[in-house]
Amino acid sequence: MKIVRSCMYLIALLGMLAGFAGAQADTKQVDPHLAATLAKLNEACEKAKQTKAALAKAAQSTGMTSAQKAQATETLKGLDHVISSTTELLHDPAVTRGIGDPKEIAGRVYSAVQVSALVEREAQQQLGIAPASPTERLLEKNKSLMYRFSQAWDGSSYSGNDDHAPGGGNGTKFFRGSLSAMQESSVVYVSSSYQPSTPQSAEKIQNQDRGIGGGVMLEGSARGLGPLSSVKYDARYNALIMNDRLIYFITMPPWDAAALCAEIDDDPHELVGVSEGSRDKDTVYFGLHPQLYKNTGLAQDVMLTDAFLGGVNFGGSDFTAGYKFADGYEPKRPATFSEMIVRFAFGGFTFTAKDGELALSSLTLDVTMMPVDKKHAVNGSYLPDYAELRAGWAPPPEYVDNAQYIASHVEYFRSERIIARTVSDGALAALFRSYKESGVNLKALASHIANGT
Amino acid sequence: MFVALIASGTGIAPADPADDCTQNKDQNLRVQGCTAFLSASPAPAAGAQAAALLFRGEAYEVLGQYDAAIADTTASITAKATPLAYSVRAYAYQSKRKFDVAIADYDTALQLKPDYVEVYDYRGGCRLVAGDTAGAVKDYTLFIKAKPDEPSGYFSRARAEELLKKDDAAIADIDRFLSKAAKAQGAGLFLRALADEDKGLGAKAQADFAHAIERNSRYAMKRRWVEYLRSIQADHDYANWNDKPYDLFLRTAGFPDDEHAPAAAG
Repeated sequence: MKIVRSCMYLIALLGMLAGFAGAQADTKQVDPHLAATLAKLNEACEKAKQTKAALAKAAQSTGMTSAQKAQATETLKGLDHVISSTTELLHDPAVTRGIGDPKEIAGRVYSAVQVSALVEREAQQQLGIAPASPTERLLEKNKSLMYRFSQAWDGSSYSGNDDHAPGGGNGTKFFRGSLSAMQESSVVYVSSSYQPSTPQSAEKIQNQDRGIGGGVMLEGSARGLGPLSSVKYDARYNALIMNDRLIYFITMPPWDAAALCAEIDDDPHELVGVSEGSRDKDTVYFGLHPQLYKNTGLAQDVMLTDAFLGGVNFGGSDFTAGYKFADGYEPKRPATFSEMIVRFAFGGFTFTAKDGELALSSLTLDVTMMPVDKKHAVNGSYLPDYAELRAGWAPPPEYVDNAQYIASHVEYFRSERIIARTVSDGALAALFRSYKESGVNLKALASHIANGT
Repeated sequence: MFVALIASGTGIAPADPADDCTQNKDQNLRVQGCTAFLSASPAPAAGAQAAALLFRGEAYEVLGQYDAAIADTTASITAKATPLAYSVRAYAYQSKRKFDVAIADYDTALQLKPDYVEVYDYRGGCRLVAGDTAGAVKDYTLFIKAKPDEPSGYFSRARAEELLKKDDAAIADIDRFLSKAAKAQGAGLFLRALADEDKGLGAKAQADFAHAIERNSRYAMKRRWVEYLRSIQADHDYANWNDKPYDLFLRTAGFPDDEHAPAAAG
């Protein structure tokens, strides 16, 4: 017996989810991201069916050359794959029963939507349908970008005319942060340093951060953008379009990007950063209203990066046991200790445009340590111990060695996924700050990104 | 990140180097005391010297100064070969990832004192870190046979069983651990949650994670980190790690004790 599954299953599924939420409102809520993304997935699935029918008809006509027909045959395989994989995803127990992290599930579903958009675009091109957006024009012109994009979304090899049918999308690594495919062609220059603290530098940080928590901070505006006249969001490809010609592909889920955009809009200091506390209640999220982004994957990335780099700096092993340090280094621990923090500030995000695509080309990382006072700031973060700093405080030399090691090996550390993700998060934050400086309405942009409009 | 560690050497004048050398609260003070004791004139008796070297070696080990620990325990063994000295030196070698030498020292400790059954537990830990998971299970089983009421053996064996994907056996061992352990319920619940997740028992895992975090909020961060390690392991994206990162976690991670009793039901 053959079981025929339909994309239309979604309608019943959404009904079930809504009913489930209604019946058990105290224990289970329908995640709004998941519901919205499932609707898009269903739309993509239905559209793939229509496009498949149109392309199959065109491939049988005499209007196509044999080479074009061969290409269409490959694309039809891709469309088949999209239809089967999206349908499968709509029947996945993790999706139907909401098992696991709803945002992770929504990320998988969203990734499948993105993959279907790519295959759809390829089919439309073969049907002679003109690109509808600057992003599509860029993808059409730049096949290698199409390939990288496809790799990033579903790990499939896709050049439009090779033997490997694209369009899986299920289980994509994209939102779990496997960005190497997207970043394959980009070389990012990193300038980093360890800076000893002075009372003046501590005061500057305290005023900017509204206290010091240490932690990982994502700072500064984007460099290299030039004058900005417009910024639009292309929901189909999760991309930002600047001046109707420069494209930046966002590498985090749209709901997290929207939260980041809202945070930068909200806070005059435009703070984005997290200082991990060994206990949850001690973790500090920076910003005027950090709840705007506290529950995002971005905040989690930054927190884990703080735990990891902080572990290296303080010679701990909780987050680094089994990590291979470049040059055989072993983080050191002093025999005596004091109460202090370490702060990692990623900034200086500089972009260059290549064939219409905006990419990160350089960044900076400043590592700072300072002693802390017993008193806390209002946001729960620490305050510098100015008396110690004025007396010429210096961290234990072992920590200085560790900090200098980090500063001189950022490129190596960037190959660790969590660090790469944090850099990517910082790059988007820098873009949003630049938009704000150029008078872009970030509130409206955040809404567009969140709603996919 | 914030670090708050108490400065060692409180400035209180030591009452007696021998007392400082034998106490086990302040390892820096212990090193100072043992050093003073060893350099006393007239020199202490050979047996006392061997003991002081062992105590100082143990203190160095706790301080993470493994080369110094190996030097002192070797000198102690030369003066008087004791199973404890071999066991302490073995752990220092293990910490330096010299697993073969460490196993040999554990073996010698057992030859010298066959009823020193804790060595099975230590050697199991060494085998686990070294990647000999089946060997670790064998050692932990020997330890459990010798000390069936000691909860740590079940916990350690469960770690190894999770690595071997024997989730049911792991859960059974954790249940035994939970029925016996007084102050590390959070650790057991966290480990059981990981096994539950492997088995696809999402809701049960969520409940165990929540209860573990209730007992010690540090498990919240540990959970995030584990999720990260699992994701890079699943995607084969761990070129900068010595082994599969989640497996490494199971082999080496520390599990904090409970800080809080669970909230009353209802």
